[in-house]
Amino acid sequence: MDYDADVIIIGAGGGGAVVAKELGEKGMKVLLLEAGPYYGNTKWPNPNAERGAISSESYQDLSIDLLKRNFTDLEDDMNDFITGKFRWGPANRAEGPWIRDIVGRGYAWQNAGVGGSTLHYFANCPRAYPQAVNDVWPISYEELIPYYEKVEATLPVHSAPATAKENLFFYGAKQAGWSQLESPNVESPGFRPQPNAILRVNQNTNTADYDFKNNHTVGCTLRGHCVNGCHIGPTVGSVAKRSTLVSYIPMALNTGNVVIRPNTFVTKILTQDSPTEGLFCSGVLYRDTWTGETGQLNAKVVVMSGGGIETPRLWLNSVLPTNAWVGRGLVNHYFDCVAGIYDEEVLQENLGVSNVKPFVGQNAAARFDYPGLGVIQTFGMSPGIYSSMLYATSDKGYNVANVPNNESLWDIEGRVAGEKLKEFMMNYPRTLSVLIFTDDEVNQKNGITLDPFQKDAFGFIPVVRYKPSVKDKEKRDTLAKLASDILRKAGAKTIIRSNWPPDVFLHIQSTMRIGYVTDTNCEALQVKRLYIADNSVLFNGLGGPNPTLTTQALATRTSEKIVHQYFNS
Amino acid sequence: MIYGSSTQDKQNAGEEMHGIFRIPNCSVVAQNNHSQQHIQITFKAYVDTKIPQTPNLAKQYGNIQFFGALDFDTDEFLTYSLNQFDIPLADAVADLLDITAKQYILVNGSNVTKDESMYSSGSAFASLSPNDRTNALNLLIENQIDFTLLPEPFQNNPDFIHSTMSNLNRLTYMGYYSEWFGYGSTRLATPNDRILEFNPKSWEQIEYPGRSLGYPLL
Repeated sequence: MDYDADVIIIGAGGGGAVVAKELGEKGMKVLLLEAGPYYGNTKWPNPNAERGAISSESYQDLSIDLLKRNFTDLEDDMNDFITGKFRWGPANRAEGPWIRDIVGRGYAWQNAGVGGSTLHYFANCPRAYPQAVNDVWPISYEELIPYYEKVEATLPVHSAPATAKENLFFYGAKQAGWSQLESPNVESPGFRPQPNAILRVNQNTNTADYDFKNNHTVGCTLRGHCVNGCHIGPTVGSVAKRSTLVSYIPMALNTGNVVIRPNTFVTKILTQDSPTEGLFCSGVLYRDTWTGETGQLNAKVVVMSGGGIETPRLWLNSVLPTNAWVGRGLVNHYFDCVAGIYDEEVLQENLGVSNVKPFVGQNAAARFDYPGLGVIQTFGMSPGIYSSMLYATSDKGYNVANVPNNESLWDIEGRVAGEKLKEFMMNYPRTLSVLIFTDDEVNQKNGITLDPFQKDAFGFIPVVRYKPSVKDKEKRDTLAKLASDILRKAGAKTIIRSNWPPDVFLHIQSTMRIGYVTDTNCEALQVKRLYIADNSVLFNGLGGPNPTLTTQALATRTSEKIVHQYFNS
Repeated sequence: MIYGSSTQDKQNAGEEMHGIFRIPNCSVVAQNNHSQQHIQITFKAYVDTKIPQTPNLAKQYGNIQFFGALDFDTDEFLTYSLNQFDIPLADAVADLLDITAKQYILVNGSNVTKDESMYSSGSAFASLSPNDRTNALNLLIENQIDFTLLPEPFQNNPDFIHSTMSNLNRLTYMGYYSEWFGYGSTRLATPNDRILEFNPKSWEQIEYPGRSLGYPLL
């Protein structure tokens, strides 16, 4: 067989980029395929308008000037679900987005492109809660620690700096009786600055009249555009927010062993049978998203890193062996959103400033962890996405119809519209908002299936179904009360609980669970030479914490396993 | 009230998937009997319900707070967004709103004040007062509309209805509070050709200074 690479990786996002760099460093020839565009690479000078080159394999192809042109800091341009540069869709913006069938009032928010959903992510890097892993996963938390440490050192991960919005949250948490957590291994409740994969603020920029326009220093500038794409830094490899686009990908290119092909949507996993190995993976079929050309690529090992929806979809569309857990066990952290609005005088008294500006500082820089329940974390961002998350998303309809009961600690529940919306948004600079991530249970009924009739250019489209359990709802309600208590103790005048529908998919995990679809090396139980290295292989929801760091730690471990198993001669 | 449909029904309808919405391919293209003007009137009424002009807020907090979605053409953003798919959706959504309004009027009879000339020219949703429009939307969200009377692709398809109405709400806020209106004369151009000509006035309403390259940590 003619091999195109030692290893093909499907998806250049949070997990795939890690495997590419790790294997490239160990001397493997890697072909990294990505369905979406490649921003900041001179081989694609107009990534949304022209096809550009087939591939890139040199660090010298990267250009910070091009990245700064591509990432405009305009939230509709970058993050509109239908037309944005980060949408789940093809590079060509003359075409519509790609399809998911989300059963319900929610939505899925994932990115296509080199960097995957780390393009828009907040860069939050907490570890899993040990109690959600130990004696639950088929591997121990202790076994993950050296891989956590390696990823934390590589990205790198730092304690986020506090601006007014974080300080208000910490103030409220302390007033509510909580203490600060000191260890990254969280075993009891408390608050802490986010461990973020964002370079430290450069102290030279810390003056009132600093010229940010001509800033060429390395480090975060607290400009609040994390979600819309960070381009702050003198080179692509030193951009402040450590999306894999600017961290693991440039490191992978630097090894000289990695070739990256964007605009390449893998449509099938190819397998062969051998008397010695049994069923094994031999390569992939792909389709070019610009031209529609199809082709085949062969490798000794293939790694699936397309994310919690696309990895099971690809397995099912490839008609790989039946497994009752393929696509199943989906957790999404059953999100919710709570916001507090503050008077200037109260802020002045409690904080010493009269505004908390959601658009200043890192988008998500403070968190509260509660093993057994989940997570509460602050967030702030540009106003279009902010208002649609806070006020336009609810399972409960319009707030006029919802009268909170006596047990609620919040004043309003549900969507907000009309004059009330304008009034609340007038208070945008005095709003502190939090996201809630519930430690939701694994349920085999939740997951990804294929629509039996509907296809797009790449195969049958995925159907995403999720219903929380009774226990999940109780946990989320408890977290909402805890969040409201913190916001109120910080001095909130008005508290709004959005009560999000259950089918909002940002953290999409455990749809190809380790131990059920793969062995403990993350190699598919039923198809040799096929590995999984994205959020889908996680065993559960980690207790509630943001999944990226754990996926990246596991992907680092999986890379070692691949070399040991198939390339150790 | 009948809602929901069997897999068999959907199979018979021979649906096709386009964009992020499921759209039965049977008759959406054929149903192009509403003018652009009708879509505009209906969507103006919708966005006005969500983000109205607010003279009260203007009196209390300054003239800038008067402006609402009608002033910043947010209805155009909805039409623009909904028509990005292979089968444009704006027409069907305008129909959905009108039929919902008609059912609301039927249920509430004399309690509803409507603009007769608007109603008889086919713009039932826009003929209602803002309060009645909100109530009509609530009826839809709470599954109290007869789904068999809805136009394709919404007929007997509550999942698609709810996901569309949620997305419509999010799109409205995104269109109003994002930079979109600031694209000015290029706001309806293809995404690659839009140029920010000014900061939209919605940012002034909420004290958002716009894009930044940094803030000092003082």
